[in-house]
Amino acid sequence: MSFANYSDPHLKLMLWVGLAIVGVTLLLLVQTVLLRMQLILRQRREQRLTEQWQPLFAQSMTALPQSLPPIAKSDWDAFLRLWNHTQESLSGESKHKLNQLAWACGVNHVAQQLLAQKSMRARLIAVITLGHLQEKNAWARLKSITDDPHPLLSLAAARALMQIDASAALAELLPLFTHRHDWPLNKIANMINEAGPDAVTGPLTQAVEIAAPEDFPRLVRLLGAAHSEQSLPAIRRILQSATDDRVISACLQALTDPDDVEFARAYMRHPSWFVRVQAVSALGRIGSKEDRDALITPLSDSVWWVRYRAAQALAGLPQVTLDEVRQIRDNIKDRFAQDILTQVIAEKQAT
Amino acid sequence: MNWSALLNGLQWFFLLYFIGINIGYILLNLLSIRALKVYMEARSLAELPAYSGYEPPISILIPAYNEEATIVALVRSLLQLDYPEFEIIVVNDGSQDSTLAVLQNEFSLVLFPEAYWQRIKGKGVRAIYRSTTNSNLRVIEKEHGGKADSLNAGINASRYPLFCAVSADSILQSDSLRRAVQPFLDNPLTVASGGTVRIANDCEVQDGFITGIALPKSGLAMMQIVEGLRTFLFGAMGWSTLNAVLIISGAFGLFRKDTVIEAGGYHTGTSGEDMELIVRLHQVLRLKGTQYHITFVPDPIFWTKAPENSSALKTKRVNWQRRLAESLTLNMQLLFHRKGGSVSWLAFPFVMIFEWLGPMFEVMGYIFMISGFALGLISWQVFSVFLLVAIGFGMLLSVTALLLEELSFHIYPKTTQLAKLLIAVLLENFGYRQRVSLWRFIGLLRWIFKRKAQAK
Repeated sequence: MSFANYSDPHLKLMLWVGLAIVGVTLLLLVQTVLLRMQLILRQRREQRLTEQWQPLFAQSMTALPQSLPPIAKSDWDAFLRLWNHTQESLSGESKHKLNQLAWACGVNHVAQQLLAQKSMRARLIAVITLGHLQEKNAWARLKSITDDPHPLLSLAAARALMQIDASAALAELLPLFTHRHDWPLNKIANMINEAGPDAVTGPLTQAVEIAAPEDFPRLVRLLGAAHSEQSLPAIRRILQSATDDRVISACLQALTDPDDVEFARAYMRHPSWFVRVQAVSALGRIGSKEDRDALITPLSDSVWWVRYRAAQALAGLPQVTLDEVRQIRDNIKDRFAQDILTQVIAEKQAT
Repeated sequence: MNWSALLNGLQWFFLLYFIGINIGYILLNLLSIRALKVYMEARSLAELPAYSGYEPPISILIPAYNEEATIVALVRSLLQLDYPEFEIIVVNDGSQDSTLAVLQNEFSLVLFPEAYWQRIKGKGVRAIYRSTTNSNLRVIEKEHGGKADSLNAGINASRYPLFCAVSADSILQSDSLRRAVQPFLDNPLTVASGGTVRIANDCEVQDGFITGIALPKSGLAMMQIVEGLRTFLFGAMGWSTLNAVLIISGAFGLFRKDTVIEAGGYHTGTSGEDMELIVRLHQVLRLKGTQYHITFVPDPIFWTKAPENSSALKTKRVNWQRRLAESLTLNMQLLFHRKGGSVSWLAFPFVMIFEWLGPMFEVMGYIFMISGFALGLISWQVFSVFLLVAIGFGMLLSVTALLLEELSFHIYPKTTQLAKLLIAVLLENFGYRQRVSLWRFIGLLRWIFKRKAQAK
């Protein structure tokens, strides 16, 4: 029988592989320790920086401090994170006052430099900072970043543009809102809310008017997120000719005016349950006592959610008392309708 | 037969097997490093207030069977979660003890006439209760049908588009839901997310939340910390980058309800319903050609007590292996399926060879090499190279897992804690890993013989 030994080149190779592994393991152990030491030093530095700057941030809310301490190059990252966190927690005039402090520290120049770096983290911090600073000089560079493939970075750039000039930004961003499906709708809605209905309703309404049918659902949902009565005429126009279930559903969701009750009534028997559920919900919001009977049929719908929303809508109609709802339940023959009404009555009683 | 050639072939087989498995993990590790870097960059931004909001409401499902001792504390802690809108549904799975009674007393439950919608078939629901003190808490009382059946009942009763399955022995963090929901906000195609399990032994727990992080005094629990870092930080994280995570812990998983219902809910015929659901979701969605994402969140999302004695740990590992075997064999259609992509061609075969059958090769490899060396059939050179490679790679993987932890969350802040962990990552490879492989091999054998017995 022949034993493999170190004269076997394959085994020799394996030996070297094994030794290399042990060597790399030791190096990584050392690196882990070094990282911990680095972390401790960084945390201490950040602690000092926070203790130094937080009182100055607070002071700047009343008046810009007479003198500001210099910021070391290695402290800029921590300083910008602290400043951005503080900015996010403020509103109105306080934000402007904190901006004045930032201008005095030269934050705009540092942010512009960071924007040119390759590191994604540096660019993110720069984009957020420039947005808070409402730095108009960064407009073109921020706009180019909205095309970046990374959704987080591009979305942050979009938000920064909205903070600088919401109306002008919307003109640039609307096509991206519809086409960049990697931008979560809820985050865009957040931006739209931040900008306020006055700034966004007009451009969004115009965009909806000329949008391609496939872009409708996304835009209509954003229009709904703006919570503006100014958007209602556009929603009405879309509803008059809409055929796509998602569009109809989104439009019904946005209805808030009792004058539009006919739309809700019209879609109560739509083949798609998504639409029916929004129609009965809308009726609950904007309907009147005369919709009482219309809401009895969907109580027997084949889909639980339609039955549930219909029962809630019925129990929530103006001038419809809980006793009347009980009466409806007792007179109805369908068991599903009875069950769902019993549940909603119990819910109403509990609140 | 030429025994010499056979022995020679076997020694090379085991040597190459150990190299192959470890190279596979190292590649996974490289993917994780990159993904974790990107994740940590994004995380710093996600913590800014303006980047939160619009979180979808979540139904938290707690299957409970004979949990009278722990259920109240768990529900109390869940009620304090930092999340805008959620409901808690405790499913009392026909408990023999006072689980229902303690809940009734503590949360003033009253019978609620709910129109229960049975979208997933299961054992009969006897009653539904609603808390008069906490409007977002309901309790379902049902016939005993097991954990999977309870979760299905919870899904049926849930109101919200996402549900979170939580096991009764989990300790969550106040921000657990916020962290786990992030993939759903970032990517509308997300259908499931899970997070890292951390070891809670000797940590301070107050009102159901971890308030002080400590390392366990038990050596066995220490080893499980290292094992956990390997499993989650580069195992699950690496697969997540390829959208091929096959395992999300049953102790905490967040799911899109409609997708789970479409896939048929939890499988009641397996003890590994949590693992099986993930594999089946991949199978159903891949084979249909639906775009989706199952994402692993590397943040520490929940904590659990690790076994501190060998027999309890053995039971856990034996069961784990059986559950893994059931999850894979129930979804074999996925293996090398032309529509299966990275799951069918990478993750499934990898998990099958190295996780499911791996313990068998590992144990047999060690037995063969040690006995071969003892009997003088294998040279000391081959034996020493085998040990160098097997143990060396093991240490390398454990050290890289710790390095990833240091690059990301470093949840053990004290330097002494890091020193202890460094010692643990080295010692873990001298006995602990081999013992775990043996227990998992036993689990594999038990699963095989149980199947044979059932077939008869």
